[in-house]
Amino acid sequence: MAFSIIGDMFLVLLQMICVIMVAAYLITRTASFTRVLDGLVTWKSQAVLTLLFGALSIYGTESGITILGATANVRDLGPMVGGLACGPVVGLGAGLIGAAYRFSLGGFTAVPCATATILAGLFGGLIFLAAGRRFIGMHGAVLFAVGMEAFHMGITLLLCRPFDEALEVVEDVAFPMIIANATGVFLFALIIGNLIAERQTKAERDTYLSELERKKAELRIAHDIQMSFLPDRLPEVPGLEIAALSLPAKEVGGDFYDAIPLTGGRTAIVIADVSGKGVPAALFMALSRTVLRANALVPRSARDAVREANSLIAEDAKSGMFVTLFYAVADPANRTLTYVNAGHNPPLLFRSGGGRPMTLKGTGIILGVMPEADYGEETVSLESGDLVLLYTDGITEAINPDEEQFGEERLIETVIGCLNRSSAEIVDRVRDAVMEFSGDEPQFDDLTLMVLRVV
Amino acid sequence: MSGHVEITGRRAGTVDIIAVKGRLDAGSSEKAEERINQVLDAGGRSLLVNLCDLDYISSSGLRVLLAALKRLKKDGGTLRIACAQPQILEVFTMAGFHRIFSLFPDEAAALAGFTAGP
Repeated sequence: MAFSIIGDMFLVLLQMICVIMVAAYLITRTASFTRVLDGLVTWKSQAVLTLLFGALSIYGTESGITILGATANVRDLGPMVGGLACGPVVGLGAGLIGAAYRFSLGGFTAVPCATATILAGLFGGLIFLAAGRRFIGMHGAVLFAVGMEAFHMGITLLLCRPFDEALEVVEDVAFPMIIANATGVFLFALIIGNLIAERQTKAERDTYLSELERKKAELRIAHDIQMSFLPDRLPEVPGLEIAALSLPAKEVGGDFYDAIPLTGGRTAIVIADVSGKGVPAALFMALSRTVLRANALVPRSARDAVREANSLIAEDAKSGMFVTLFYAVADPANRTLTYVNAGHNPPLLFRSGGGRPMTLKGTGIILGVMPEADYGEETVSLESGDLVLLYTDGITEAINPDEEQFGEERLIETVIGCLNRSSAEIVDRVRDAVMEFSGDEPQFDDLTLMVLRVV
Repeated sequence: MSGHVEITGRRAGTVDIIAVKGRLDAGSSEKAEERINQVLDAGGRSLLVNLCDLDYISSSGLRVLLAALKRLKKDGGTLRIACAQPQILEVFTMAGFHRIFSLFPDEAAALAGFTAGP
């Protein structure tokens, strides 16, 4: 007999827990509830939540477990959770609904029970406010439920007469009610906590993805800027056969090359590498290229053109941006190449007669660093069949999976191996050699090279 | 991916010393830049960069040093570079950096320079 009572009680309790879990899941998944979690409280969502938690309170009254004649119930659960999670309006509203229903049933504990249900919602709401308009979390919520039910028992003893009967009821139901309500609040808190964590993870993932998207867009913009400032086609240069290639890296540096026709059949040849990455480097490249072009077209010496360009670029160089530049004027009539090397990798001059290439070394500081810097210029004579290879450090500093650099020596060997080919073919051979060397290693820096062959 | 760099920092009196070991290239220079900026953000005005064990520097490494120099110059601070190895000096010379940086053969010489004033 005793076993069957405990067994029945267990079943009823289990059933109650199931209903509470389903209710908790459904209520927390409503748009109204997530809006409240986001801090967006509207009258409509408050009304919806009030009705839902009020209905839960009515269910709490109806589903009471009768223990030795006294009924333990979870009427306070709805208002408590409504208040704790959604604020005093929802808590109080749900409390009033639950209280009205309880009051309509009558009985000698009607007044204290109804009062306790209203206060449960109100206190829950005040805790919500005190916690800074947030759900206080599982521990606080369960403690509140225990305290609230103890208080419920207290006012029953205080208000119900005769006192002896009240005491008897309280003695029977106090423990089951505290346990049942605390369990209910625990389940709700668990599901709300889960929901909050889930939403936080989602928010973090969204931020991460939009950050990634933004970065991708930035790289695409930088790439577009850079490509738009490279010549679509190199001009026909009298006396020279020119080919060039630029392969921007994923994170984009700011390599560029140019060939600018000057007066008297001369041509200005440019190869440059802007420090830095992304949009700032791409814009700096655009600025540098334009300044160089403008200065190349003014009739003056190569060193004056570079000096003037430098002073303009240096004025705009922020946060340590700079440009390494090799600037040369080819004069086919006099068969000379006059160059200024502002901190750029020395281009290689392969003589038609063979042998080691000559390096066209630095004649001044990189651009953008010293506004008043002066530059030297050098002139070399060119013979028919001579070949000049201009490149950026992306070529020589390309690494293979063993972290070895491609290096100048491999570059020289590659060029010597195809010296009698056309400029365009040599460009392709060097590119292939670097690609083959790098293997699966990602391309870190722009690869840019230019080949001039004296016809 | 390259980027084997080790950066250590310490203080000697009012001088912040940052030692950069390994390779300062596109993959690692961001790390060096962050470290240097930390020191400068904290109000460091005398910075000594020790390059004794730096094997390689690329243009992105040069940019980091240049950015530090520009920032310090603007704020009335000083940047010194100690003990750059021959291959590093070659890159400095190629870029013309030997003309704008104060280079010292070793840390002691660079430190002595600080106490004597910029």
